Amino acid sequence: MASEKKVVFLRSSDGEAFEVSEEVISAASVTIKGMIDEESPSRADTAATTTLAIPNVTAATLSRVLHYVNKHFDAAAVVGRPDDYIFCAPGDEHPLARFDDDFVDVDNDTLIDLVHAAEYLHIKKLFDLTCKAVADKLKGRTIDQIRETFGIVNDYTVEEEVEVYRENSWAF
Amino acid sequence: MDDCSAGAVAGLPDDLLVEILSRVPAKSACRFKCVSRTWRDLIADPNHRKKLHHAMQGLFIMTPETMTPETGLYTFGLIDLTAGSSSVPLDDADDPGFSFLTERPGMHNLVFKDSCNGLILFGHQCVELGDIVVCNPTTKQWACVPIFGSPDRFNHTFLAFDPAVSSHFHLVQFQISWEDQMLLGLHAYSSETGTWSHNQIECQEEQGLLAAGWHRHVTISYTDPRCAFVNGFLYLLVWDLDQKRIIVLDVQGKARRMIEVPSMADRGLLSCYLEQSQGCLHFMTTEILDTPEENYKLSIWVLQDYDTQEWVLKNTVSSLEVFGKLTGGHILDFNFSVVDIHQDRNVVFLFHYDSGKLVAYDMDHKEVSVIAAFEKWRTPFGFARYVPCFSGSPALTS
Repeated sequence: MASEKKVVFLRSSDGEAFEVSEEVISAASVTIKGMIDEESPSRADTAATTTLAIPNVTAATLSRVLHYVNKHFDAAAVVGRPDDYIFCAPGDEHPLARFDDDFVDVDNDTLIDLVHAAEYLHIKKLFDLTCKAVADKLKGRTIDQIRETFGIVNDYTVEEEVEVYRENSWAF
Repeated sequence: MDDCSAGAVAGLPDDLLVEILSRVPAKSACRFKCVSRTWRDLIADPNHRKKLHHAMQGLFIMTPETMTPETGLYTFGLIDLTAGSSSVPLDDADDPGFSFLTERPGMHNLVFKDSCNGLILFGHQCVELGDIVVCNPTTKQWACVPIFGSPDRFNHTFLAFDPAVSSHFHLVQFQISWEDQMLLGLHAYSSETGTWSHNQIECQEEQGLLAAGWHRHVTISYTDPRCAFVNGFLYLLVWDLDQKRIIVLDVQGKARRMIEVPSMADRGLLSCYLEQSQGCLHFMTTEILDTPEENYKLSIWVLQDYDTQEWVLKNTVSSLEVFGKLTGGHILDFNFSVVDIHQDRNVVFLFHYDSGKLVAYDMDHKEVSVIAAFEKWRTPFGFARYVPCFSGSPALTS
């Protein structure tokens, strides 16, 4: 039965192709669903599988994204309805909460690549998850650590910096 | 983030950075203004205000402290309106009980008087004169303003504050006669100068913005005045002879205009409310419907065009529609009051006396949800919007 399911191939920016169920990726990614819908008239009832170029996402990131997508959007693999968990009472752990925690437990660059990929592919749940993960990493950081992390040069003059610290002193 | 590399992170475009900053607690986001000019400008940009938590987050409530309301003391709390829709914790309101104020000497008897764009105005219960307190619950900064007047007059004071325009606030005070609710005095306070103005009614006699003597036929309710601050002007509901009208004042207390309320059948009209939502003045009325049940109709109007005074009817709903489902068909008194309208959405908050429930009615989706329930003796006496305001103000010094 699984063999009857339509699949598509996604080719990463560095040329690697990944197989994924058309149904699953269409449910997950607005962008890819749009690409498939555009392709479909020309491929109706043909046996040929489609390969879609994803020029903005590397193989390393794309394989992570597909791992997430298969976990969250493959109805056969998901326990319960995938969108239920935002309504869970506090303390109730969603079956995929542990998976999500582990998924974003990666280094900065990998996480930011995932943010970019989720935005480009328009996978809202993944975008929310990864943005939140970056935010969680940032919130306890000092100003100096933020500058270091983001490679930001402090462009305040001494007077300006004193002033901006004074204005926001309540937030420290 | 143990590795502090400046690789992919450094290349984040502004829109993604805003998405990320919108998911840090607001207090942290504010602290990050110190990172650089670019970050400060991004975080302070008015276009990002809604994303970065400047939207309305909750309703502060004031409930009696004990079952014997004679003590006149109230406790404060916060109803979180973001619950279920946002994963951002409300950590910037970590003292919704205002204990940083009420535990100070002489501050135990504070009551809500008004709120405006993030600031809250308190007065003292049972004390007609004396200081009033202006407070920013987000930064926990506050200031006392000495109020003046005379014991033979009743005072209403309203707050005018727009952090996008100035970090200073204004107060406009109406002095009303105890006997006939006539307007006797109108004074304005600026936190920038720290002084109250002379009586603006007398000053305005010569200015001719409105017909001379306009105030002589105006009365203001002393139990439940309705006032909204919209785009730099205060709108106050008054009786002008035997008609309801809205007087428009600037923050200096100068009367600019008298505008008509939406035309309606006067019969059965119970209450009128004025509030600001989505940058527009909203006018709401309740009236009794001619039905066997005790049923009321709520109408919500919006002032579409200030210049032409064009009101547009936005929504009407009956109390049976709103409260009928809640009670599972039990016969009950459908009487309610309008608590507020959501600052950023088409949602009105209604308090239903019979069941003690505070309800949010979503006009767009015709949906009703209970957001809080109170025991009879805990019925809230006052509400104030919680709209986080992260900019420290030189006007609030304590």
